[in-house]
Amino acid sequence: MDRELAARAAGVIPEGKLVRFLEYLVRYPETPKLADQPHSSEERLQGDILRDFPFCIIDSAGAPKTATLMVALMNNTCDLQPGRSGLVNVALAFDYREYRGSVIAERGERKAQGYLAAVEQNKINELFYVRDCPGFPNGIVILLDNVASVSTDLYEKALQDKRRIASFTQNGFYVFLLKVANYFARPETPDVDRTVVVVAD
Amino acid sequence: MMSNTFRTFATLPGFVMAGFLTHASGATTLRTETSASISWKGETSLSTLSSSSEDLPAPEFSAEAVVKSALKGMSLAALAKTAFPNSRPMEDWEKQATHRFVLSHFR
Repeated sequence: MDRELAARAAGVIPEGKLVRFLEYLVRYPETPKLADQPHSSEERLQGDILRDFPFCIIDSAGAPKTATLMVALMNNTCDLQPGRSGLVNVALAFDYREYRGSVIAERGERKAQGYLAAVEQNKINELFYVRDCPGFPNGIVILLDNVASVSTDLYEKALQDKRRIASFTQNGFYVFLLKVANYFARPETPDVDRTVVVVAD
Repeated sequence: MMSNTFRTFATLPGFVMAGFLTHASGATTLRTETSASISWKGETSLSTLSSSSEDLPAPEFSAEAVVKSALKGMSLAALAKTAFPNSRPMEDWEKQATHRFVLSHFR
């Protein structure tokens, strides 16, 4: 399926914005402009990047561990409106320079080279590399496989404290959706067979 | 001429069966059937039913709408594939290195 046919059938991209997105896709990733300053009139947008936001994981002993980190909002924009939900879902995000440095420190520059090139070309399913995030000259990387639910009250406080640092551009948002679809909606491996159910003794 | 067909999706204890009834017109309704003698699998003609049926409220969708909607969803994934044709899952070492990097930020 070619890009135009797939884009026209995708449904999530309105006809009025389709042509511009198709032009963008043809040039991507050479002229990305995925993200920009926080949107000035839309305060709550899916994909918005927030700094100093609480995040929690459960360790192998079942204990919660918390940290205050950069995140990307995963909820649909309509679910971010006041009074809509008690929780927001966020994915971890990091300064790419820091992440890159960590991978090189662990693997060595030469061995890490191919992987990091793939990250920067957005060829790794789990990661969304955003080259042009304001305040991060080397960009940021969003870890789509590290997601947590956090109280909406803390989201409201982050908005009050002006901790939004970026919003996706219109085309950047579509790329964000494609990355999410590519990661969460990819097919299972062919050896998985859900038609056979073995009842345990 | 098309005939009405009944496609079973559940067989419940007591030989109560539920399924989607597809009319010749293409409309779909949900029905339950009871039968003490017929064992079903898949699709059969309504004329083979051995007992009376009781209509349930029709579901609020048409099969056509469901298929259209599903195809749009698949197209989003297809578009993702065309935009990122060589995208791949992380290799084990990449996943583990990233995991250690993440953990290093938590108390």
